[in-house]
Amino acid sequence: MQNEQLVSQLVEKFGAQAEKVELNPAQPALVVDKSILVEFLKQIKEDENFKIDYLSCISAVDYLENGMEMNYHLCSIELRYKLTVKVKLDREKPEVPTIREIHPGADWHEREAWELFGIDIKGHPNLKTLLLPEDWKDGWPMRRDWEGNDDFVKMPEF
Amino acid sequence: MGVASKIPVYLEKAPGGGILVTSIDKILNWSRASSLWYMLFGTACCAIEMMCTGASRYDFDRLGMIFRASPRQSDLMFVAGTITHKMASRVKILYEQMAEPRYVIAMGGCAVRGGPFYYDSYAVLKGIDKVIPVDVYIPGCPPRPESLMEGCLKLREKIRKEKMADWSSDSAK
Repeated sequence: MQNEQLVSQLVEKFGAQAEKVELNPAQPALVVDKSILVEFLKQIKEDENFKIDYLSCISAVDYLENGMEMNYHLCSIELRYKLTVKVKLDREKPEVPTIREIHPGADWHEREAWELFGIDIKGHPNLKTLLLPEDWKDGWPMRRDWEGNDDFVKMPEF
Repeated sequence: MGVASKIPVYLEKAPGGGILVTSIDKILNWSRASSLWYMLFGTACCAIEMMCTGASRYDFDRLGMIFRASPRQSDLMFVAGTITHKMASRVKILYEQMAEPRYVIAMGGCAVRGGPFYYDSYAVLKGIDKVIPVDVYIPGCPPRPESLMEGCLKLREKIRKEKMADWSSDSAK
């Protein structure tokens, strides 16, 4: 299936809730509201036309005043195409439902997004540090306004 | 007496054979410096260089150095690579599991002072000497096998200068 075709089908199916973003033709992207995220992923996984059954990565992005974003990089192994699903988050209180039930591989990705960006994963049963030390208390280090801790050395201006 | 010429001993002939006379310091330091078994412990690209030095082209074996997969059997630990804060506590445990006397070589920029991750990093420990004592520092990113060899020779020199009187229970240094 062609990517263009896929995206137009998805937009048709979900109407106003899924909005297309122009990024990379090889990996089309959709912006989905977080309230329907779980239902959306479930439907495109089970639907015979889409069969998006594999989650390759989750990335969180901090855009400062433009809020935060969770990107779910998905692909269909059988139909051989990729899709990125974006969810916009409020920077003051970022939270997103877990998709562990649909894609079990999301577990560690979600933990990573939580510990590095402070995105609250609603419904995740095991939110504890994965990459950071167990006794980490210095905030969310990958946020762009993170000030650093005692051990942090800022790169001097050249 | 090929062996006797290499060991720091004095050989005295006696009827039916001979007596070897040496000091405890000399014979212990000689044996320690000549069989530094090192622990297989690499966390980054420095480990590749360490493997290369252990392999036949550079050959650690000719210094009597053999890799061991367990800290219990090791005398020497190469901290070869980037140590993150999370890894630091594990490095300390490994160090404590080694039997005394134990030696540490900080290999490469990361182990010496954080290396390329010194600035703007929340995760990397800035120098392994914040966690465990270090005997020899080898700069480089990563150091070439020649540098690593040189570091080991320096450590051997250091071991040969040790005195029994300096031993203490918590550290062999």
